[in-house]
Amino acid sequence: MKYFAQTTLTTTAILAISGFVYYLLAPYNWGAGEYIMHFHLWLGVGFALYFIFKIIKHIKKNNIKIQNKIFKKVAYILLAIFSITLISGFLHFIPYISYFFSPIYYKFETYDFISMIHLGSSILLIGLFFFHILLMPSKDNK
Amino acid sequence: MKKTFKYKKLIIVTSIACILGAGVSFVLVPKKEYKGVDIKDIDFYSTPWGEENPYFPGELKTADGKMGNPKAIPSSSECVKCHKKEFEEWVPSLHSISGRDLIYENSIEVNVNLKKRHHGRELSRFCDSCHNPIEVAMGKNNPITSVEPSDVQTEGLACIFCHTATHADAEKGNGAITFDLNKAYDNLSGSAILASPKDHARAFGSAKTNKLLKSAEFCGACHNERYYPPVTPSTKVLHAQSTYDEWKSSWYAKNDVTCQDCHMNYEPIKFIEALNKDIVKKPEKYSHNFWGGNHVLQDTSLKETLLYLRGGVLPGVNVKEYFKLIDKQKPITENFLRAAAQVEIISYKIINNTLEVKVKVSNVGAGHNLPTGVVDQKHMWLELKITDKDGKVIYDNGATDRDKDVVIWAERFVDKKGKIIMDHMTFKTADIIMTRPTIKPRSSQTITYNVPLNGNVQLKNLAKLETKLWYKIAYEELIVKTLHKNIPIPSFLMAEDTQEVNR
Repeated sequence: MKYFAQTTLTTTAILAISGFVYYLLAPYNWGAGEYIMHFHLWLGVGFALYFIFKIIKHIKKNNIKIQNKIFKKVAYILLAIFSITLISGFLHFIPYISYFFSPIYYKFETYDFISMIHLGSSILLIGLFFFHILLMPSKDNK
Repeated sequence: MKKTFKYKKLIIVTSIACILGAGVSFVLVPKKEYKGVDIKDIDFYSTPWGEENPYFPGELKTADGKMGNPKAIPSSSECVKCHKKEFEEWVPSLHSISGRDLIYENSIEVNVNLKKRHHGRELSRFCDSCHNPIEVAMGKNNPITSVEPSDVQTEGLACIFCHTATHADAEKGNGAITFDLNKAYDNLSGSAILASPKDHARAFGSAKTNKLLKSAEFCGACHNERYYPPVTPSTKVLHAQSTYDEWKSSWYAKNDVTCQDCHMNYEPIKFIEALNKDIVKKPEKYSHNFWGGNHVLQDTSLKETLLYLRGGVLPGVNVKEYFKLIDKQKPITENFLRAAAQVEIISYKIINNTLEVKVKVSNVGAGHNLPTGVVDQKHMWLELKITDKDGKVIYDNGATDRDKDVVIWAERFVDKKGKIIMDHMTFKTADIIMTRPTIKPRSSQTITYNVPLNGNVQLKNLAKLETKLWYKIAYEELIVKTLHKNIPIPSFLMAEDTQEVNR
């Protein structure tokens, strides 16, 4: 658990920046946008696996120690938002990976909906993440 | 708080590194830029009727006013990876071979040669605007070809033609479709498209396009065809094909039953049967089979000849698969044709020394006239056969479409000298006359036969009356002219009726 916080923070930052760059700037250079998207998707999947594996331990370890009710609430909301972001990201990854087997895809409207959820939840996640760190009890930090 | 600060540093450093990385990739990765080709950049492109209308006498238009870019526009075989079902429906259809069908291609050559000193090749833009619009838009129909070849140019009505269309004018006809050809490429590739198809939607699936694709007007832009100079030497506008107009004034149009509802229906026969009970239940999904009337170009029993007639195998499919797909299409095409018409012997009686037989021919399943299209080739005729009690045929009119006084539904192209043209020489057609009016949707025609009762035909000997409605997709003259071979064209039995004679 030593590097969980660092890993989560850096990976989230990379994912957020690559995601926003693709979302906002890809039309200026689709070739670069495509590389960024591949990177974003594979890093996202790798991170999701890591996160699922580590988060349970993280909760178990810190749940008893934390007395601050607000912090606890924020932490659980953060976890929920994290889950939404990862699930909506995974929903983009399913058609992506299916291309190599038997392609599946959704309606354009479904893609728009999933993208909106992914974008919205990631913005929320960034804000809550900062809040989570700021509210982190100093005792716990030591 | 010390550790939180440390995280801050970590976040800032990571973010800066990430932004720099993205920036570098934007600088280093070359931009994909596809643009339409300016008409001036196509060497030797001939525009005898003005540069502002480069596809004239066809009514085709590109949304950006530029010629298509062969480097950018994808073949339908590139769509197959993700749209296999749609591709496999389209492959056996006539739309996939509308430009490469050998009889059509050779017919173009013969027509071009007719006017080779009068912009014959440029005039072929008229035909190819509907049959091979991508080739036309790329500037291939030119006396000197300077456009590089690409697969999509051989695919007739390829995926990208319909799926980039933005406007259609059915009243005008002659391929009056505007298509955004030069936006028809993907900026992303392969799996990336499936993760983020927004750009794919920009290229192929705009709401405007999808709405247009469902309309009869879209089909009408090609299935209404008018001949006038410089295409033909006629002094008036000749209505060579009026399928859309026929539909427009029918029960079908009034009840919002469009071309797609039948011709792109997964179960067209069931749909037609329901319509006959006045039940209109529009399909939820449309197929890409484009069911039509050409049963010959789906006849796999012709083996290699079929492959030859269809202009070889399409890109993205092998011979075995090709035949398998055509085999699937064939029975529905045949049933589709049969669902269109009915014949019935409604009466027979003796008047003086004549046997009068009345046969009712009805259009029961087509939302347009029967026959329809350019019916100088496609035609329909009626046979009446009378058999005596010994089983001997004592009267047979219409056993072939060449019989004297045969009841036939077709149009005749006529040249300037008044001579009938049987081999589809469009460019010398001065007039079009109908042998008899074609049968309107949900209506019928009664044909009266007066068979003289003398010699062989005596009422007391009569046993059976038989009538058959036949259909043929072309005249042999067209085959001789285009393929230099005398191949008989099979007749197709659309409907029949039999009556025993009661004495």
